[in-house]
Amino acid sequence: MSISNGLNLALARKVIKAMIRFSIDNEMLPGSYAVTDSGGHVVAMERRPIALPATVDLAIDKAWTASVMKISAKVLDQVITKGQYGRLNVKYHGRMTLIYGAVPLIINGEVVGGIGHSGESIDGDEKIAQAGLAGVYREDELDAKVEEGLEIARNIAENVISYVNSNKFKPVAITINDRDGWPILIYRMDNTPFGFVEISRSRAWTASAFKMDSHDAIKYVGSINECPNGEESNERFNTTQGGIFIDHNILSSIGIAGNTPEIDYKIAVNSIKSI
Amino acid sequence: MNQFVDTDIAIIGAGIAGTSIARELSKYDLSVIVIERKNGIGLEGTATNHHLVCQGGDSLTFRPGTLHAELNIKSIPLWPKLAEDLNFKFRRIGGLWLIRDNVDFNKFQKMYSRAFKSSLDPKSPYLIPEGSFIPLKFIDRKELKDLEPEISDEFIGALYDPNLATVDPPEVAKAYAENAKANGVNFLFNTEIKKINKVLDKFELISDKISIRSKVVINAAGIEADKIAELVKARDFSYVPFKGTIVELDDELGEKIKHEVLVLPRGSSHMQVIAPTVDNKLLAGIHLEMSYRSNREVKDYAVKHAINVSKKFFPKIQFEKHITRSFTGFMAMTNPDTGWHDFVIGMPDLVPYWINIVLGPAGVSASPYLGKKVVELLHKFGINLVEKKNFSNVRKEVES
Repeated sequence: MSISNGLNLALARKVIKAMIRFSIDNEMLPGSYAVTDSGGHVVAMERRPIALPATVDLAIDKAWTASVMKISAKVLDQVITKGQYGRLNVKYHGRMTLIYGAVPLIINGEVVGGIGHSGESIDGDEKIAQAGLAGVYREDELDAKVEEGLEIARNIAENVISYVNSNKFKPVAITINDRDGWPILIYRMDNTPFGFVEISRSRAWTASAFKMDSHDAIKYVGSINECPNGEESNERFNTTQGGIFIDHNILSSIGIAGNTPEIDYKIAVNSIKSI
Repeated sequence: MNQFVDTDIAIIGAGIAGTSIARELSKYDLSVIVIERKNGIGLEGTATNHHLVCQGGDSLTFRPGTLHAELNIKSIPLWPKLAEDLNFKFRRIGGLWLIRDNVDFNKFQKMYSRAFKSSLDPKSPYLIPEGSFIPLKFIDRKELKDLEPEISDEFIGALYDPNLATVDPPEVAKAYAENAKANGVNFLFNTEIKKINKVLDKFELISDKISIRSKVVINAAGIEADKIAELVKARDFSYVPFKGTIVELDDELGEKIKHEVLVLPRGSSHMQVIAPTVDNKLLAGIHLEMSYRSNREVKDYAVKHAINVSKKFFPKIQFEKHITRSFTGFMAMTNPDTGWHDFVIGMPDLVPYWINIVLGPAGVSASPYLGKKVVELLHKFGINLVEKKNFSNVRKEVES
């Protein structure tokens, strides 16, 4: 058995499960768990529904930092910048995150992505991210009982993947939000161009924010110019098809992107038939 | 129905960690059982490494303040007496850390001053007692050639560590075990722990044929330590298995090459080393890769690495003709992304009386002090250890 497929969604999910298992076994604070590819683009992110909303982008930004610097934040901080990371941090609108819990994902001696965790103390974040890297090299699947919202979100995402595959649609990015409009889950199916990740997030946000399908929002808002679009604070307006509102006690929307908007919408509608 | 056994301390794993701890604990009035899934001692990581101990020079590279540095340095003065008491082969070979240019020289100087602060300066935290450590010294090309006549002209000198020694680690583990057994420790072989329950104030370790109830459990399961700890939610550490490939060369070459020779790798993470063994053979390599632990196959590229390294050191020798075998082994690396490895010797916050041991690189070398560290830990957590009056520190031949 060897790790030959490189980084894909299955491996990213395995890494996230290893992190969640470690954090639950050690009764650590809940957080967000992110894996990015070699360019820093999200492959998978999961947030435990009881974790702070803001950990989503912190975890993603940590994984991004490990991906694009090809090194862990701990080394960047202690060895490379020796605490003088202010200059680095100015670049990329502060996205460079030199906080522990950002670890490169290494396969066959090469950095193929990044692992990020946010939600604990810096030492806790580091331990959890390390558990993610260790998870890459486990043949057995580490799993743990997670909160209902995340469990349902995973089921929806699996429905999407099998529906897309069986209908031979193009692969998609999936975002599933909680009732506050913050992601619980982001998955990018293998071979989905990374640009669709942000589109799926925007469509899901729009559906959550207006409690209606993303393409209906424009009818009520009037003009797209009316709506602020501040992605940095998770305010992302997108009125194309593919984001649907769901009336659920934990989740509020699903955003799909990767095909034409009509097909994305169809995929989203189909994915929630079972919940 | 399973047979039940009660004990004070159960040690999972009869490798170098488990046996050295067992031997130390056999000095106290305790019932101790060592549980091993295989049919013998030191059959995994203990058997598959470079055999080097007394790593005074290597200790230079260990980060001060780590258990990795502390245990290795504190073990240095213990080795000669241990070899005498337990009657195992112990051969001083000396290490030559080769210098190509100023980059190497500067690096070694930096390490040397760091090591001085942690172990040689009278104020240092792990002072090595006088007489048990010969100071390292820089030697020039001529002295290097005197020590290793066939060494490549590429090298302008070396940092010489006269203390470095080699042992046969499985033999050492057996020696620890036999001495422990003579002092009352029990060994259970062919016993794989499948499940662990907590019953009142004891752990219940369950295998197919026997259940062991123990107040304290020491998880010394080597590369499987993560899975054992997970059985009781006690894994508060992470590591990645590093697969190492080592090539063994025959004693004809062992007659020619008498020292460990090593060069710091550049642009690669594979070790570049040749080390003599107690029986006059040589071990060369070491190709390292992060890997699944079931992946034990010897790869051609890893063997080639060992041969290339050997030829770089000794260009005139035909190494290919002298290969006796190649083998792979695993070591647990914590913080594999940074290389800032450290041992794990600790009790998880949430699982009292459970002690995790993860050694990894230089684990054999650190074993003489490991048991003492565990005893410190037991004392710290209020476990009262009373010394036995009739402990025998000398190994006697015992039928296993």
